[in-house]
Amino acid sequence: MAPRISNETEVKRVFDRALAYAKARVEYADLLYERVVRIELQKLPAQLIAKPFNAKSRIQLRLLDKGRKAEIKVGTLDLGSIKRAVDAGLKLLRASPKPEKPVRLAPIPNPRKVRYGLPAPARFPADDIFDALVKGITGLARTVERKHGRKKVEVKPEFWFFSQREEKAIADTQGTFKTQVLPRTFLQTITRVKGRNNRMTQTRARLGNVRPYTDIVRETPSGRFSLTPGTRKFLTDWFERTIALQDAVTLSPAQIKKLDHMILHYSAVGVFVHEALGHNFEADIVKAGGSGIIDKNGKPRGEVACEDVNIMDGPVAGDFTNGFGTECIDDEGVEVQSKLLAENGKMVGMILSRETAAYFNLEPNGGAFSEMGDSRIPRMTNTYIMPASKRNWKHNLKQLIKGVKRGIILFGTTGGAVSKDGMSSSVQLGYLVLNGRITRMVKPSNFSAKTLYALRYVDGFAGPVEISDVGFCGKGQTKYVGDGGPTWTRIRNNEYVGLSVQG
Amino acid sequence: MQLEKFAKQAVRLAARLRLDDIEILLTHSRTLSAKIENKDVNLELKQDIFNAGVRVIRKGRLGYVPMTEPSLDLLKTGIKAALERAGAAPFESFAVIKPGPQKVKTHDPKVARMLERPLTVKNLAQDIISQTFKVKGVENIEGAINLSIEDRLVATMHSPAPALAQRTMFSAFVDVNSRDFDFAASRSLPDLKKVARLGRNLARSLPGKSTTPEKEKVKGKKVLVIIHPVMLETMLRKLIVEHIYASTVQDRMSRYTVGDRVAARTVTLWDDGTAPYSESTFPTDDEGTPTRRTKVIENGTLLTLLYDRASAVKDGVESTGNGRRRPVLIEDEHEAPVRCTASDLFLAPGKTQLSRMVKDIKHGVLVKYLLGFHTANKTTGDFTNALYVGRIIRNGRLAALPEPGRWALKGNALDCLKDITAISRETFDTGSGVLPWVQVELTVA
Repeated sequence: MAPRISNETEVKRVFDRALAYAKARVEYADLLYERVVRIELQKLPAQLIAKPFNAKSRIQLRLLDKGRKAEIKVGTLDLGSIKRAVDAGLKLLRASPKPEKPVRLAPIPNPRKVRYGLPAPARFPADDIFDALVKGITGLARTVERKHGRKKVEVKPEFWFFSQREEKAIADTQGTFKTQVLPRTFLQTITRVKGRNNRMTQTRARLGNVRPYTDIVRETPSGRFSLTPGTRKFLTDWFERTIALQDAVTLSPAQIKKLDHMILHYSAVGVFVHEALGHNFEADIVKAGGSGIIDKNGKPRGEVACEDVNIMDGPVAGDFTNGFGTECIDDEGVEVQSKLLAENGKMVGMILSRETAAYFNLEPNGGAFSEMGDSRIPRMTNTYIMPASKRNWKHNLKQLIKGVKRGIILFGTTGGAVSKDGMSSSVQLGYLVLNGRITRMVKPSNFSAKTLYALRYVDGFAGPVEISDVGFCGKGQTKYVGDGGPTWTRIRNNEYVGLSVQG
Repeated sequence: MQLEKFAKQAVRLAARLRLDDIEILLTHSRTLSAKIENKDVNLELKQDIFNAGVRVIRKGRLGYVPMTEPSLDLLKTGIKAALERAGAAPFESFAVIKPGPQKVKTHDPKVARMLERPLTVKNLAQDIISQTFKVKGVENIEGAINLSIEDRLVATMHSPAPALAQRTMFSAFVDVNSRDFDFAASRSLPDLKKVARLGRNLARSLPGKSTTPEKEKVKGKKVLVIIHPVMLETMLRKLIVEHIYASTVQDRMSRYTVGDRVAARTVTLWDDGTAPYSESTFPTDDEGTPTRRTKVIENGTLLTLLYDRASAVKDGVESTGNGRRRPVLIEDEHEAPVRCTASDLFLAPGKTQLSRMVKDIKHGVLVKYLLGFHTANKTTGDFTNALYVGRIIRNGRLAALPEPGRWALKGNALDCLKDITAISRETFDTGSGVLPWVQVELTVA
């Protein structure tokens, strides 16, 4: 049973009246209300900033009339304020030019279902959670420092934690009223290590999921709070990697050219799939002619990958309790689908809003999202590679690198960016593979690719599909996203991917 | 929205709650946007957008309260929660804002008037579209015109009056064929005829051909690179200024010490929170310290660090007015902690004509935007990124566009600043600074 938003009666009362006011003036109107209650802790170099109470809410109003559209963001859930927004919207509609194709919205499927979501705490034991984080993370750093006593390294983790309860409501002049409640929790550490000769190395590690704070910090039977074992291991591994980077090597362009394979961990392939491919499946980008994969009419420009590759967006295997980008309904009230975007390397779908679905004569698939009252646009949730067959899907990394003479394993990312034809993502570290064996650690690098070609050279996978790479996608608005793929994806080195190692 | 009234009520609430001090940053804004998507224009409005970023001190503890509703009840709840888990305050009290704070130019009535005229904004957007599509070879245009008006207030408990200003903002942005962009941004209204020609001029400047590092025979080689002012500002803000923040120095993570030669002798850099109609301009920073124009680097030598109040107290000096709520990732400004943050950046122009700089290069690159530069290493200054927007220079001419996904440049931003070999006479106003083009050497990766 999905939970109720905390002020459902008040939201419904204000929405009903505001929509009645709008209905008398325009053909169609809908409203989105978003509210977040969050606790947050930031450890900066010189400060510890605790925010045990942070509440924010915004509203988005959309008006449609005679094929024109107006979108207005409103500050507060106040009837007078929304009515003023309707009046301002009428002015915008009058000023708006007639679009080349009239704006239409595809209907909301399953309009009668009201409540969606997962249990989310309404109150947080902030004191206990914050104490556990500070003591736990600094304690782990000191432990790792002591372990490497001879190297005389300083391990300096900064971190940022938040846990929140998200609520939203969507209503329209056709009587739809839907709500969603979700928890979401995030922990990021930026670890700087100062070694001999003041050499500095840095990594970033993130944990995040559509789960309560208990994913990171748990209450022990004695009533004390501490980091979960999974969190402790995750952070310790990253502290160790940051220290190991002190002795990492660089690779020259000539050495890179000699590599026969690149093996990407899900934490590196995820951002690649998100940037290189995912954005190109967003229907607003397609409509604007900005997709390198699909033309303005919704037709594929060519194959996007080899036939072993499927590209997906949404929950993995219908599991709505996993993934940092997971949502049950989008911000237009459409249930989020598992979207098959590319099948056997060929484009078969797009990420759609109601508007772009109507534009391309397709069914909406729950892809429209807003950042706190901004206009709703097609966005990714969790985007991942799914092997299309088991043919080249190995059990583990050892099997995958067995035949690799000279390769590189790419691990972790600090983000990426996309253009129409290409993408770029940063890789936190690498490992050189020689004759099927892992040898030296390689310094951070930048991985770039020509969108339409890079994944045509995928020739193997290993391990289960994971979407635990946690990100904040910026497309004018910020959105929580997850991405990933099989634990390991192997790509034959080719002229459409570029790797450039620091140093 | 009466920000002063809310601030007074908040100060009275603070007294009732027996706080030692309260600092309030309030904003209330309205924004009109015209989004350009090829031949379509969509109008969007944001109104009644209120934000409050409040800090409180009680018994040596500092608490943060962010909120988006002008509600005293919510503020009271927030203050009580914040005080339960407040960390040690880096200072005893907040700044006392001097009466009659300095006058700075932040408001242009012409922008405010245009904000009320969506039809005029739509017409300007359509003018950009029609002029751009007249140029042969234009396939896609993306862009936006944004106008906003913001009431902004900074108050503290013991200040006789708050710092208050109304700030307008105009910006227009155009991207042509996803290959290059241009923009205008200011708190005052620019020449709208020039704005209407932004896309047209850009489209005319695009070379018809693109090329690869292999064709140019520069892969893996060091080449001369002209850094566009937009890229230079990004480089300064993301990688270099970080090392000038007092907080970074105090954490022993900076490569710089005051008095070091950190740049070429031709480099002089100012940080300015008072420049007329510039982005950061306001009478005070977000802590109530008066903003100022600070010469940070002179003839290549680092003259001073940039301080907020916390780092200034640590070093026993005055804040340089660089305490700003600098948001990262999902943070809004009002939620962000106060961090040492650069205001607007002004780099002194040089003596070389830009056209001369290009003419003198046989094989080189002009770089305006490196894809994913936000992922560069702040600690070391190292970067290696795909070249997204720029030109390939061949025999003294801007000969071709970089073929997407085939070019990357690598280097170190801190070294770049030291190794600048030429600075252009011309400058470009980014809206948050005025900077020239500079010439350095980078590796084509």
